[in-house]
Amino acid sequence: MKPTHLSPHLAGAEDDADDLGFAGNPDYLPASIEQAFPGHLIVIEGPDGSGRSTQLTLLAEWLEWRGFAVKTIGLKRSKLLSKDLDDLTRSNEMHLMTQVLLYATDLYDQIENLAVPALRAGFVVLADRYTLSLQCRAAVRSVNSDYLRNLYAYAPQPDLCLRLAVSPETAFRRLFSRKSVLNHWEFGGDLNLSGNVYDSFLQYQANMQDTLAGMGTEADYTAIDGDQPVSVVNQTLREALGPYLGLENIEYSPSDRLRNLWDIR
Amino acid sequence: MSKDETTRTRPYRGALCIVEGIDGSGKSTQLHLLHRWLELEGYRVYHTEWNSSPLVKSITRRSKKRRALTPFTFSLLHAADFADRCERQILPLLHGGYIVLADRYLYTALARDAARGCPMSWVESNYSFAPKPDLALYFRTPLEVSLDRILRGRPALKWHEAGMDLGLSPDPVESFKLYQGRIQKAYDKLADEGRLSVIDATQSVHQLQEETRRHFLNAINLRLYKGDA
Repeated sequence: MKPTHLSPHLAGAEDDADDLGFAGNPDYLPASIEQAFPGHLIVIEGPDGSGRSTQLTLLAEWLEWRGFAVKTIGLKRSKLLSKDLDDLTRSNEMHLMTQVLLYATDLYDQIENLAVPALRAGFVVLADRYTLSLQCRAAVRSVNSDYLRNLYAYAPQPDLCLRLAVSPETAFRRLFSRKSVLNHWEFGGDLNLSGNVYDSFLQYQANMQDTLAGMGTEADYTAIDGDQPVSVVNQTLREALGPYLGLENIEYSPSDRLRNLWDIR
Repeated sequence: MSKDETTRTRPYRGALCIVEGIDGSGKSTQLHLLHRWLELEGYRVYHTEWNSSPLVKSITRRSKKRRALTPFTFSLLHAADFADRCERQILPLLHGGYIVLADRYLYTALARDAARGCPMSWVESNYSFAPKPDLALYFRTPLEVSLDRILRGRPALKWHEAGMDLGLSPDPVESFKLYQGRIQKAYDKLADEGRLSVIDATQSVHQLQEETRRHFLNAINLRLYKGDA
């Protein structure tokens, strides 16, 4: 670990070790409770097949074009754990709390090593899903919501949280436009919802939406209709982001490289 | 009333006995002897160690080697390791009516993460799924005794073992001393709160084992654990 992670208080003074944080007086905090970063944390939530990743790719290009430095974080992307999490997910060996805690490790690694330094440096940090998705996924599997709230208590609050709401049917169609089989996690295979994978998928997506809606009161997010074509959704996202970043003109059309994304339905 | 005060009503038939103490306190030797004794007497018993999940252990080892961990990710990775053992080892054994002996338990996490400055309520809550031990013994030695035991037999201390990531001292031995001191203080505090029973670990190995067995027999009704479940 780099010494910069240590507060001067922790690094020097042995006398202060009497407290040891036991009295709820922490020496170390992952900088995430700093009130005002010069940068902006923008979170896009939404299920697989909601067009989330497509939109993030387009938003990143738009923002760079308009002169904003962008850093992207997401689930299972940390330098620390992404590969291991891939392997473990495939091996199906992780039980519930193990998975919850490893995903938390993965996110905090990105928060501390990528997001917070970028936010301090004035970047726009785009999160391709964040604490809400993870909390939701665990809550659907009956992990206590207070437990989850505490777990992510030191993740920086998003400046803007946008949620792509999508009908299960659209999500289903989009998933099969880019892959040949559904994976276990996409249809909630561990929950034994139905022997019929299509029904299981619909039910799982509905359960996730309900849980997310239930969390909506505490997480201040805006729902966006993700069933619409990519270009329309992107316009809506730019309309939400533009004023926030002080951009009056939010016009954009993708570069040739990303043109193919524009026409996804 | 302490947080770990037991109601004697558990959702499982098994019994959980855990030991804590700083490196060199002799706790592992004592737990090993307790294990051997129970095994040889024909009781259903299982021995488990800290940081030994087959899924997480290698990740932790590699991350430590790369010095890639912050106090938060250090804490969370150890919690994940513990969760895996809880879910697939400790809880099934307890439900199956075994005596589970754990060399280090969540108090190790509380003490080490506290020494690293993590917010304690956060760590406590992250471990709140842990079953409450029927017996939690804290092998206490004066710091110099354990330091002497450890440092005499071992030329090189590992980075995290010496607590080098805390930035307490650039000298590994000095850092180790300060780090162990912090952990000792954290254990003492847990003992004051009634969550750990203190054993004076300066006694001889044999005396200590007799005392350990006395504590064990007071806390655990051995007759329930004879033979097959």
